[in-house]
Amino acid sequence: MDRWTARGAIQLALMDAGLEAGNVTSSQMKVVVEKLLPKQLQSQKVADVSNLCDRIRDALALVNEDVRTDSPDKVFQRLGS
Amino acid sequence: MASFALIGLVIYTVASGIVGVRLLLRARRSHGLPELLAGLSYIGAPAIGYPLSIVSSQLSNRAVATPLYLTGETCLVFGCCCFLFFTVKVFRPGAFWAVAAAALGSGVFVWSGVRIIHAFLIHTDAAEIAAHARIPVAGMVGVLMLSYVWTALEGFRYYRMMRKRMALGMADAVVTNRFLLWTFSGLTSVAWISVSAVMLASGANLGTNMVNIGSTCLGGLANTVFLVLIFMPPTSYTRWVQRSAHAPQLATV
Repeated sequence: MDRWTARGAIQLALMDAGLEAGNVTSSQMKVVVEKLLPKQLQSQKVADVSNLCDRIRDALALVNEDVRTDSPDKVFQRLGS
Repeated sequence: MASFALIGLVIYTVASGIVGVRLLLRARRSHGLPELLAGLSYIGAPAIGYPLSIVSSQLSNRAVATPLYLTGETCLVFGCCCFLFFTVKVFRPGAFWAVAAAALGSGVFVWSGVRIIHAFLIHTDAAEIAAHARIPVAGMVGVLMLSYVWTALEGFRYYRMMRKRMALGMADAVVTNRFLLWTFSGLTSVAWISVSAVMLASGANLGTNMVNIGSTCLGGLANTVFLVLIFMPPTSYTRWVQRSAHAPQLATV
C-alpha cells in the first residue's frame, strides 16, 4: 500500500467517524482504527488488514493525548456546564 | 405594538446580560478565550449596545441622547466584532481565510459604526439621521447577516460530525444537541436581520420602525430560549436530551 492510499483510507475513516485530522485525539483515533479503518482498508484490497491495524494501534499507544487542543466540542461542553 | 416591542427588548436584554456575565465569570475561571469572546459579545451587542442605541435614538433631549447613543453604538460594534472572532476561534482556529474574513467584517462594523455616529452627531432630525446613515447601516446589517449565516453553517456542520461520533460512542448527546441549538439560534438571527434588511431597503428608519423593532424582539425572545438551553440548560432539558439520544427523531434530529 502506498502512502497516498494509506492517507486516503485514514481520511475516509475519519470522515465516517465525524472527525477532523487537525484535532483528532489518540483515543478517538483508537476507536477509528478499531471500528472503521479495517472496513476502509478491505475496500481498497489491502492485504493483512488486521496486522496493519495492530501496528497502528501499537503506534497510537506511544502517542500522548494532547490535552491543550481546544476543539469545538470541548468549548461547547464548557460553555454549557 | 410599542409596549410589546419594549417587553421583548427588555427580556432579551436581561437574558443576554445574564448569559454574558455567566460566560465572563467562566472565562475568569478557565482563562478560555471562546468564553471571553462570547461573554463580551452578548454583553456588548444585545445586552447594552442595541437597547441603548434604540432608546437613545428616541430621546428628544440631545444632551442625554448623544452620550447614550455613542456608548450604545460603540458597544454594539464591539460585541459584533467579538462574535465574529468567537466563530473563528471555536470553529476555524488557525485558518487564515477565517481570520481575514473576521478582520474584514470587523472593519466594516467599525466603519459603519463611525459613520452612523457621525450622522447622529451632525443631524438632529430623525429622518435626516436615517437618510445619512442608510449606507453604513446597510453595511452593518449585511455583515451581521453574513456572520450569523457563517456561524449557523459551522454549527450545523459540526452537529452532523457529532452525530457520527455519537454513533461510535465518542460524543455526548447534550453537547451534540448544543450545536443544533447554536444553528437554530444563528438562523433565528438571520431571519430577524432579514426583516431589518427589507425595512432598510424600503426606506424605513430601523431605530424607530415598529415592524423592525418588533421582529427583532420576537427573534430576541426566540434566541433567549436558545441561549438558556445552550449556556445554562435546566436539568430537565439535559435529561430529556440524554433520554432521547436513542430516538434521533426527537432531540438530535
